[in-house]
Amino acid sequence: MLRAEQRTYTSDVRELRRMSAWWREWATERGLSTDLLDRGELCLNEAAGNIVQHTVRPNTIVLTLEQEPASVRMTLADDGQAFDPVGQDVADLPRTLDEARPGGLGLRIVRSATETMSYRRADGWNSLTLILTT
Amino acid sequence: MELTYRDLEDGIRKIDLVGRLDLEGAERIDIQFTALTAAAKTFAIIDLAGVEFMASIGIATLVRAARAARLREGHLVLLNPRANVAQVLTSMKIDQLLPVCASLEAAREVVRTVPPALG
Repeated sequence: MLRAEQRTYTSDVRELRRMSAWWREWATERGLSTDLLDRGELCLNEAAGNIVQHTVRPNTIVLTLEQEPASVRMTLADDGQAFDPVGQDVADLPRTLDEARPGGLGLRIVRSATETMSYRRADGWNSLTLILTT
Repeated sequence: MELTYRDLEDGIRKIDLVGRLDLEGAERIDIQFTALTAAAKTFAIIDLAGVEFMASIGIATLVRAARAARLREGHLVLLNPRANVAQVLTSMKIDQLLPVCASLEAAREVVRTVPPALG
């Protein structure tokens, strides 16, 4: 495994674009594909957006990126209340506009774009790890 | 996120979105976008060519507007999304709920083909 790189952000909706910018810069420096850049940016936005929107009083989000031979490991840690996105049910996709209800797609997007997704809670921190194949 | 619109001579409203349709972008356009699409019998073409990035909140914004339009005997179609945005719409099967057109001419034709009202 290559060296991990880490950045720290405050839990604020305006930080999501800074996270995206760092992800794209990091992935571009490593020559990763456009497809991976797009998938990673989407996953990062959905996962971090979930923390910003739904977790009660997190102060800090720590984003760690690691490149492995055939994948990228993206870890988001936050000090908000315990929340396990991996254990959440994902609603079926609507088949008609009549069935469609806004919301609920974020986790589905993350699951569809990642190889694996794992969660743990330790020492007051949530830690969500996403593996994206290159 | 920037929103501009103009009403075409055939009564169709064309709404151009430019920028990132993420949490911050969706929040910025939400009130104006809703106002422009929610009136009775609104036929709107949403031009996505300038949208660089779309998160689930952006999809929710479009779906909510499309439902509101259909409930009021209107219709909403999407125009010309970039490849990364089209990929999100396709993977979430939104393209099966909302027409996605590649040209303004096609969009003008499709938007006038009103499906049965919801509900």
